[in-house]
Order: sequence, then structure tokens, then C-alpha cells
Amino acid sequence: MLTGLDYIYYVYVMKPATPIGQFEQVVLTAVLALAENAYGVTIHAEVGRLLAPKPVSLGAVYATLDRLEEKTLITSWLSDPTPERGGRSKRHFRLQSSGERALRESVAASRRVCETVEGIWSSLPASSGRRWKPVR
Amino acid sequence: MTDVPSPRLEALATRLLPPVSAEDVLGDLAESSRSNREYLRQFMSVLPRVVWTQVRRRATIGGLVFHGIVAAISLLAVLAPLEQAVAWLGAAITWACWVAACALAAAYGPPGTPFKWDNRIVAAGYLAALGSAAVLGLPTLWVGAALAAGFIVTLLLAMPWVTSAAPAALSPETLADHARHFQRLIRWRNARESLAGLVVIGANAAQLRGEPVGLEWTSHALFIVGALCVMVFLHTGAASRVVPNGLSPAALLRFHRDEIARQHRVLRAVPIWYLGPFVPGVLVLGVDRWSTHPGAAAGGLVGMALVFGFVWWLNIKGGQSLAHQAGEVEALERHS
Repeated sequence: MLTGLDYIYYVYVMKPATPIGQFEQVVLTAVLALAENAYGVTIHAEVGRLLAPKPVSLGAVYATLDRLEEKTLITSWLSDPTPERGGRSKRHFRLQSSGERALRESVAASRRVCETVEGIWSSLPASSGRRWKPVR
Repeated sequence: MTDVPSPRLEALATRLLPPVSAEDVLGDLAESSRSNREYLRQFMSVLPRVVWTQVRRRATIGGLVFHGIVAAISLLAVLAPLEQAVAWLGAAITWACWVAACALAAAYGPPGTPFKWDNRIVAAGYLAALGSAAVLGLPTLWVGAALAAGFIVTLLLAMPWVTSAAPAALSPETLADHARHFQRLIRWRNARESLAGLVVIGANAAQLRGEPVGLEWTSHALFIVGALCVMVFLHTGAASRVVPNGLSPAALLRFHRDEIARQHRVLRAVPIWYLGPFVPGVLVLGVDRWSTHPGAAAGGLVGMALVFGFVWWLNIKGGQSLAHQAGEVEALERHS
């Protein structure tokens, strides 16, 4: 029975990196870019910069950070109180190794999408006036 | 920025935010807002998400569903036998009001104690549920008794689990405590499931008496066999272990890591050892009912499939939590 359970474990458990959505990818990128300075306000600002000009709410960033922490892609901790925040602590975030792997795979997929789309658009002659039509 | 937010606005935000999240969220709002209006706008966007986050973390979806089911069964048990016409929509509203209040009570519990609720919200929710029952024409006393009984049953079933507080963050000094705490949780889980198994066996054995041997009799017998199979596996393949004394730190790490991995495998195999033994009984009962009530039989089979799927999903979530714990132990192993 243990052999059967081991088989099930390796088939169902040892799977590739956790898939992430587009917004999760952006938030992970912000956490990676900010390194030791990644907390709610700075992550929100960085996500806003990456997605500009689309506005991003702080609540959406919080919800995504919570989802990523639940997936164990990031971890968080409370810092010491800071005087500029009325003596309140900051909750810092850091990428886990599983988060780095998920981000790496997501970026690779995005790169393949970009190359494919740019390849199609660049193959259309600019002066021909023809528009690309999907294959039917 | 010293006047943002105003003291009154900050006091309101402090009161409305769950205590666990208040510290860092209030700081983020104060740092990122240039005016009271912007502070209020950001606060309104943040509040629902922060509350929902704490509901998911402190009450958990599985816990909410379990509590909801127990409360629904309690209400049904009390309201169904009554002769007066019961407004079932009113009962559903009362039930929803009570479950929502319990979810909020969990979310707004004190920080530092993950499983403590805000008793004032529990009390207010109970009064609100009674009030809605009275307004909607339900028998208030019976509803109050049912909700109280359901709440007590939920607490009793969850109590051994939640009162054994988890030790501090994992470190070489707290490793032994973590290992013993983990085995204690497994023991309580197995005890709870064994008790549920005895209830299943008792209920089906009572059905066997006086029942002629046929498909229904066979289904009850299969349920008894299924429950016995589950109980045997709980105390063999899924059994807890005693943490050996006198182990070196490296050996203790290996023991704890291997135990987490073993229980993770157990959870991932729940469809085989926990749900599988009951499938023959469900199918035989479904075949028996099909001849007389095909619609009800089909509905029953679909319902059981949904329940089995939900139990499977719950155990997958449990497995993810174990995977996280295993990661922490492996990180400790690498650094030791």
C-alpha cells in the first residue's frame, strides 16, 4: 500500500511550479525588484509603475499578496515601528524559492507570447494596408 | 502630512479593521495618503479585502463550511418536526446571519491567538439571528436553542484541535515542541475520525436489525465495512508516532520531516483510503433506490459525489499546509 501511496504522491504532488496570473506576476516582480524595501506602500507604487497608466488599488495589491503568501510563494514579517508612519510597523515581503521558480516560468511564458505576437505583426508589410486575419 | 489622517478618521479605521491587520494596514494608509479624502477612499477599497483575508486565515473556508453545516442541521432538526408552517426562506436568512457573524467574530479575534474569536461579535450575531427569526415569524426560542446547540457541537468537535496552541516559530530550540505538537494534532484527528466512524457503524447497524436481506441491507453492511477499513487505516498507515527522546538535533529533524511527508502522502491518498471504502455502499444504495425513486436516487448520488469532492478538496488544502511546513523544516535542515 505504501508503494501505491508513494506512486500517487509522485504523480500528484511533484508537479511543476505553481501557475500564477498576470497580476500575480506583476506583484511578484515588484517584490523581487524592491528586495529589502518591499512592503505594502512600495509594492503598490511599483505595481502602479509597472502597469501604468492603468490605476491599481491598494486593496487589490493586499489581496494578491495574501494569495501569494497562501501559495507559499512569498513570506512576510512585521518590522520595528517607524516614526514616519505614526509609530506603526511595516509588513515586509520576500520571495521564497518557490516564488522565484513560479516567476521565472511565468516570465518565460510571457517572453514566448511576446516573440510570437511580434513575429506575426512584424511580418505584415507596413505599406500594404492589409490587416492580419485569424486562420479559419 | 502630519494632519493625515485626522484623529477621528484614524480612530474609525482602527475600530473597523481586524486587529491582526490593523498595525501595518493603518501605517500603509497613513504613509500613502496625501489627504483625508484619499485616506478614506483607500480605506474603503482595502477594508473588504482585509476582512475577507482574515476570515479565510482565522476561520478558514473549511471551518466556515463545517460550522454552517452543523448550524443548518441543528436548525433543520429543530424546525422540521414542528407542526406550524415554517418559512424556510426566513430560516435560511437567520442561518446566513449567524454564520456571517461567526465568520466576522473569527476575523476580528485578538492578535497572537489564531483561534480566539471576538465574543462581542458572537453575542451580537446571536442576538441578530434571534431578531431576524422573530421578525420573519420563526419560533425564536427553538431557533435560539438550535443555534446554541450547533455552536457548542462545533466547539466540542474543534476544541482539541484549536486549544493545543502551536509553539513559537520553528527553530532548533522549538523543534521538539513542533514535532510533539504535530503528533498531538494527528492523534486528535484520528480520535475524532474514529468517533465519527463509530457513529456511522452504530447508525448502520441499527438499520440492519429487522431489515430483510437485500440491496438496502447490503448497502448498510458495506458502510459498516467501509467505516471499519477507514478506522483500521487511521491507526496503522495514518497513525501518529511517539517522538523519541534523546535524539540528536539532526535525527529529530529527519524524524519530523519524514513524519510530515508521511502524513502528506496520507492526505493526498484520501480518495483511496477515506472515500473509496464508502463508494460500494453508496452505489448499492443508489441502485436500490433507483427502482422506486430514480430522481431521488440520481440526486442522492450527485449529492454524495459533491460531498466526496469537497472532502477531497479540504484534504488537498491540508496537504498544501503540510507542504509549507515541510519547506520550513527543510530550510532549518539546510541551515543547521
